[in-house]
Amino acid sequence: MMTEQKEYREISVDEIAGDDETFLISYPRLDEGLCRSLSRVGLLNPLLVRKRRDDRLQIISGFRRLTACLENGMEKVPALIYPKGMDSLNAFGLAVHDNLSRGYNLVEKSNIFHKLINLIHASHDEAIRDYMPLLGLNPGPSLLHDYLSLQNLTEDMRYYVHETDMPLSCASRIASFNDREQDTLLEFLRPLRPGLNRLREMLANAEETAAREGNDIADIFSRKEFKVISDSDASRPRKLEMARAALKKMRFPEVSATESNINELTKALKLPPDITLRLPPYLEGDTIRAELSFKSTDALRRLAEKLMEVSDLEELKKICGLL
Amino acid sequence: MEKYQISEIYVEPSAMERELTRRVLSSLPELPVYETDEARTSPYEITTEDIASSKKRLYIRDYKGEPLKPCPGTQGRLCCNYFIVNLAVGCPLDCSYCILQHYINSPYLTLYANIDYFLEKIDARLEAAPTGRSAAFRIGTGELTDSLALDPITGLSQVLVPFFAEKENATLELKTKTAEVTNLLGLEHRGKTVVAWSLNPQPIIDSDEAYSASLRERLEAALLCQEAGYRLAFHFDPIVNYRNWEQDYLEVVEELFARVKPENISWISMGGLRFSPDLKPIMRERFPESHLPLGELIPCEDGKLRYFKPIRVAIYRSLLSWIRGRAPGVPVYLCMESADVWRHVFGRAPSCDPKFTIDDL
Ligand code: SF4
Repeated sequence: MMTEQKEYREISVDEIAGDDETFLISYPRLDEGLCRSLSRVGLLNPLLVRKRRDDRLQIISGFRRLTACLENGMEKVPALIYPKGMDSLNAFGLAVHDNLSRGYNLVEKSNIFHKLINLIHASHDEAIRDYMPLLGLNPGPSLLHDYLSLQNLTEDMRYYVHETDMPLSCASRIASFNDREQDTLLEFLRPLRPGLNRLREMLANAEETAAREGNDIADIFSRKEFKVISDSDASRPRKLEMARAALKKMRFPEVSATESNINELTKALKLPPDITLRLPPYLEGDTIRAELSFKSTDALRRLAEKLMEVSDLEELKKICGLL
Repeated sequence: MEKYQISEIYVEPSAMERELTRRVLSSLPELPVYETDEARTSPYEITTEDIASSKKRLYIRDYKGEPLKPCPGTQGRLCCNYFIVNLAVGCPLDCSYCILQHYINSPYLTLYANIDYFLEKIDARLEAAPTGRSAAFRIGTGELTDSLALDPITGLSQVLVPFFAEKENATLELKTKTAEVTNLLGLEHRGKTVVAWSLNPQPIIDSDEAYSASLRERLEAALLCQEAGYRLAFHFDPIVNYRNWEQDYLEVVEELFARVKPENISWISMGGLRFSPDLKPIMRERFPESHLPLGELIPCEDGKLRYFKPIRVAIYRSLLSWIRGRAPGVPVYLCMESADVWRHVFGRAPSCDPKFTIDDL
């Protein structure tokens, strides 16, 4: 039972056990926007702290606020001080609720579940039942597992995940890689900055190629193909497409070989730009569509003549034979 | 073959006194039995642990829906006019590519005990059907389970085979990856039951078909059924593309025809490995050593992943030529393939009607 009451007062930053990160959820800890706002209007919300047995103050909520205060050279900060007797589960609940309205990012949600289970010793069922809905998540063990897995991200990768707003599915996939794999991957990703779909595809292709060859992801991304791409003068989007194609070729060698064969054959047809041949995706189908663009009946006639001409070519027969 | 992993039995009270329940309980006397109205179901999504549990917990209950269903087939693919009866949902075997891992919505292997209900409904459906070739029902019990894996404890074949022996317009297909045929051998089947095996080279059985019988055991069991006068069928399904596929599948074909006489085979099907993209992460998690999800599988029109078409066509053609070389008269068909793949393999598609029967081949 709590006998002492909470108290509101200005505290000296020296009273705070700054290295006690028991309830630290926020990520990243330095918030430039908060620093700026604090320098203009001061700290609007007090820190929530709890007295420790050694009478130093443990932050429950307000790590970012404290960092911003220190950045602004403040020595005193307003705080709501909870008594020693407050139990950790309640303190943690307070920490989560205090910042709920601003919304948590992926890493912070992961921190919440990690601390809840490993520090507060809540069960997985409690985390699923009480905390997942609170954070706006569909309760379920596999989602919880994915969030917890983010604790395996290296510090640099964690920051990349945060700064690129990476979705959980990709981040948890990356979290399954070891540190060396994550470092190599990060070197690959940083200059390319792929969007979500490209990232997903490239990760799957790299991971599956590595699994098939008995290598790890680091071996895949250290290949010379990628070095050549990164050293080239191509633009970022072009490099991204080249890297993507290289990965696809590693993962799907027959598909890639067939596609380049089709490209060669199509080139040999010497079609004008206003005729486009469209093959069914992955050759799943038996019909080629020819798309014609023309502005006059004469132009259409010329295209029709060209089509008649190519219909006798061996290359077109070979393309048809692939369907 | 290692036997079942079943370690607990749950029984719905209404199913407790049924013949099938008694038989199962007396076959597995060492296992704990829980009588329960509603076996525990997960309030959340089914996890990979639940899939593993579904191999260990048997739930015996009554079934109340429509028992005879047309095989769902798949969009844009030719379908073989097949009907299914699901007497069980879930399977004691554990194949890496099993679609049940994705379909399953309960952590149990469910076995339906009210067999009389099934038989009455099937009877009524068959009697109401017009007679004639196109009305012949080919009925299988192996869509959501292996048809014979549990037969030693359920004895279901002893009910089903004599039942279908009496039917003029229906054939029962018992499809299995086991060698559990002892119950079948003395039964009066009148040629109305086809016993079918899925076949794969032994390296694939070893890596991806856990708790199933070896290739040799399957073929020995087929031999026993042949001697007991049964019609036989074989499914090269799922066909896996790997480095030694050519040599290994040829050996399977050779071993098959070294034992089984072509005239006793009703049909042979070929189907390449295919699965929905949602199954892939489950396969990767549950069977991290399996190379199956790492093949050159591309998305097809029906949403499933399949080997790139030229790969499939090359394998089907080789397999077909090996089969035709040894058994020219046996009907061979493709399972869940498009008309253009049929044309590449057979030179023609069987019928414009996406529903064809085995007689169309
Ligand atoms: S035998 Fe069939 S039902 Fe059983 S696990 Fe294998 S694929 Fe699934």
